[in-house]
Amino acid sequence: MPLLLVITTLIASLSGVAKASSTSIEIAPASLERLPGNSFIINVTVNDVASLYLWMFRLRWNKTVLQLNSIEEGPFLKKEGGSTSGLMLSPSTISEINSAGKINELACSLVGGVSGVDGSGTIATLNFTCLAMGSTALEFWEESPYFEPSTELLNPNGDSISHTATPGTVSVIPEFSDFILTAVLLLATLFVVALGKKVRSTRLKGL
Amino acid sequence: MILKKDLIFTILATFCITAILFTAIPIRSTPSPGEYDPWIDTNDDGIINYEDLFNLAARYGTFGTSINKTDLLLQLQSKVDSLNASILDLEARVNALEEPVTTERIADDAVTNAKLAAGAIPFNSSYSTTPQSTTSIDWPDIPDMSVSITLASRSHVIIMFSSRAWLATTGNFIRVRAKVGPSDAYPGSAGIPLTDQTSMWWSYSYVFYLPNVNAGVYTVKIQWRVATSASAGNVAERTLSVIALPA
Repeated sequence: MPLLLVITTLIASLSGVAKASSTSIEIAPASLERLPGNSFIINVTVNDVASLYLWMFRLRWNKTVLQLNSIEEGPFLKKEGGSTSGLMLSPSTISEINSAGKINELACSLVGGVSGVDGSGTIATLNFTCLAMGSTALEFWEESPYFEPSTELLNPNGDSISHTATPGTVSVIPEFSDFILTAVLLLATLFVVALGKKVRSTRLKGL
Repeated sequence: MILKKDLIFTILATFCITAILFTAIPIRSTPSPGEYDPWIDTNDDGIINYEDLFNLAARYGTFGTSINKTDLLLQLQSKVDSLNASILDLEARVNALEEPVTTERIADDAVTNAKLAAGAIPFNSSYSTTPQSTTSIDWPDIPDMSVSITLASRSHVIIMFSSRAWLATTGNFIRVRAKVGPSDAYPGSAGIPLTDQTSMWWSYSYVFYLPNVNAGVYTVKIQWRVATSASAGNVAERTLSVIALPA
């Protein structure tokens, strides 16, 4: 009987720990490879959150590698039918963000006396274009005194929801030029033609 | 056709609208968009951010009795000003009270306490009901009209004398004077005429003084004489009171 009690307590405590640490804000996909000039979508997601009323994050990247094109609100906060404030963005223009290579603050809140939202989903979608070869982290950042914390999730009481924040990386890889591709294709063709001739001469010798 | 009344009405209406605009614009134009506005910073942390967004969003759609924040501020400012004035007044009073009460200042009679010690203000007095007469013209002392006074510091000596007085016959008069030690009290050595009446029922009073008398022990006395020694001058019930005030 005591052994059963100990095991039950252990399981309960372990499950509690697991649950407390599972809420997160993540960059999805966490890792991405693209060619220069390519545009791509990055989602910022929340996972296993309970009673989310407001979210906020600050994101930065290498501005010589990536250029932000647009930001859209994700569907997660509205999924129970509540109205939201819309995206509250600082700096307020994309050009200012690209000049700095970072978003000082991006936040969105439900509006009015409604319950928070549970579960997982996308809170924001960011559209980038690759400017040049290189690798950059898409990381959450903070800076005292005005720009902290790096991420925040609030419930309807204004209490902070404990969570982790996982950054992402984007690698812009080199692209083969048309000249190199043409040369490789030509060499391959010559090789096939030469090989064909050799096979045919070998067959003729056999006859 | 435009009536004169309509024209006046139009001018007045335009004036009113313009006045309202000029009144409203300064109130609404601070600060401009893009600048920090402390009125919007609901948690007063110096930045308008997601926390202020939450404060607004969580209460969006609620209603109640509004407050005029500017008026509230002005009221507070007025109260602060009033309190500041009170503080300054209190400060002045405290400073006056906290002026150190030194032995020197007490000795100098610059300060004293509310409960004056006995003899703090030098005083002495004398009286007599015994009739006295004189035919002298040499300023003898009036009997029983002499007191001793001790001045701890430089003082103004005030000498109050009163007496019933008369002359034996008409055609003469009595003069009196006061002395503080060897000095004549004002109005001076000639003194003052006390009476030329022969009725023995009249009373007279005079206040002599001598300012800035140095510290010391003095005999203060009243002297008298008649103008001519042909007839006697008389005094009966009389008093002498002497006080000294800090100089």
